[in-house]
Amino acid sequence: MKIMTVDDSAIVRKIIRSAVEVLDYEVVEAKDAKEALDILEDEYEDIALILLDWNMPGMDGFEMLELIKKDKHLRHIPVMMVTSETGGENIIKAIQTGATHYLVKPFTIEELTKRILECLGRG
Amino acid sequence: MDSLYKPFIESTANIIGQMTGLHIDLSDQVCEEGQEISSLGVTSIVTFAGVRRGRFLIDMVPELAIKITNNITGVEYKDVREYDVLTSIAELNNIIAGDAITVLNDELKLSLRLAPPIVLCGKEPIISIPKLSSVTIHGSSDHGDLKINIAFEKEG
Amino acid sequence: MDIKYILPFLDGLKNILEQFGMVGIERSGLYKKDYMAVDKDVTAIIGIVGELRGNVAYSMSQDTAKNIVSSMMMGMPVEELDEVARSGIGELSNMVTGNASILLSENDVNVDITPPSIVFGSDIYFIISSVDTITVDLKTPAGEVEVNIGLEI
Repeated sequence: MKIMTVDDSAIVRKIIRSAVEVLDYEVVEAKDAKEALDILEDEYEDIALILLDWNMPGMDGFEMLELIKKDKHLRHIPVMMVTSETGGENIIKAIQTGATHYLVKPFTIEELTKRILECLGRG
Repeated sequence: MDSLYKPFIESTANIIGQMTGLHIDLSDQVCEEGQEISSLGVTSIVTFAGVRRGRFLIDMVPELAIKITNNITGVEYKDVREYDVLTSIAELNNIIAGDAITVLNDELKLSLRLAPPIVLCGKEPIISIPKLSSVTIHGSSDHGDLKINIAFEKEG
Repeated sequence: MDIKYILPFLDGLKNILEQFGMVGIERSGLYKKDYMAVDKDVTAIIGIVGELRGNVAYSMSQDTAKNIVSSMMMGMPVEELDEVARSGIGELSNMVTGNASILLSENDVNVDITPPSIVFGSDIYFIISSVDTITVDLKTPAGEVEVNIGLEI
């Protein structure tokens, strides 16, 4: 199974990749929502978790979350929102829309790993 | 989205024309830009905030920056690093952006305010603007190429 | 220039660097320039509008930038400022901007901060502001960061 990271920042993708590979998952990277949705169309059956950046150019992470949760093929995939905003309103909005978890940047590798395992039901 | 870009595009050609007498040809094509812009040599950036936040960037080859300054000041400058050359390009950008946001504030009630312009030159600078999508419009003149880049944060 | 306008920009950087494990940051110099000229190779600039108007520029050498990105990546070595490393400085700039913005509002300074632009290159020369500028040198475990604050008050 694979874990997808959707983030416009190459460094965040790289950090996530290094944490995920330790857990023996394959990583799929997308730099924006459009690229991610294209990949999901073909590979949705292999994706165990999506780590989704909130603040991206073009379609933002929240809009993509809404699309995922409306799509019958995608809506069962757990989504963890990743954001640099600490506002509680956004957390509530994301969880209500169907996000499984929420991670605030900057995060440590330990925190990231723990959250990923929780999302995958291995916590 | 076009209504946000149009005032900047129109002001660029008009104001350079008025202030320097130089003719600038801007392309009709509005290109989506990645997160990194390679500079042609001299770049000025004006950022703004209000109902939306964003950035206007004007970028040109050194020859054009010098020609613009010479035409504005009536003095013959040779080196792009001279204070007067760099500050002339910054001021030009300030006037273009000021003109454009006046239109946006009147028409769309965006209450935008400009931060002071910055200007830079160097060897192949890369300008990165994280988290913002932007568009670039390429242009040309008898004294070399230029481009403008416009970025707005999303609403909300 | 009132210190309450300057501190949020210094503390914003300090807070974020500390979150990446860079502790023991000290102010090593403070001086005034007639205008804000910068010649370091990596500079992040944010604009300020509202009851103040100006720019703040965080400047550093390529080595300092590489060291910072390496800390962000839990010590992974960074050989060059490639796209990944540049995006690291972009992330950092966004975080510092966000943090400074919170600190300013806590200090009752009514301003908006504009999105950061980051310039990478070599042999770069900037004029960031033609007003009086306060420059503060910060000594960090990653190397020196020069914070230039030019405000029209």
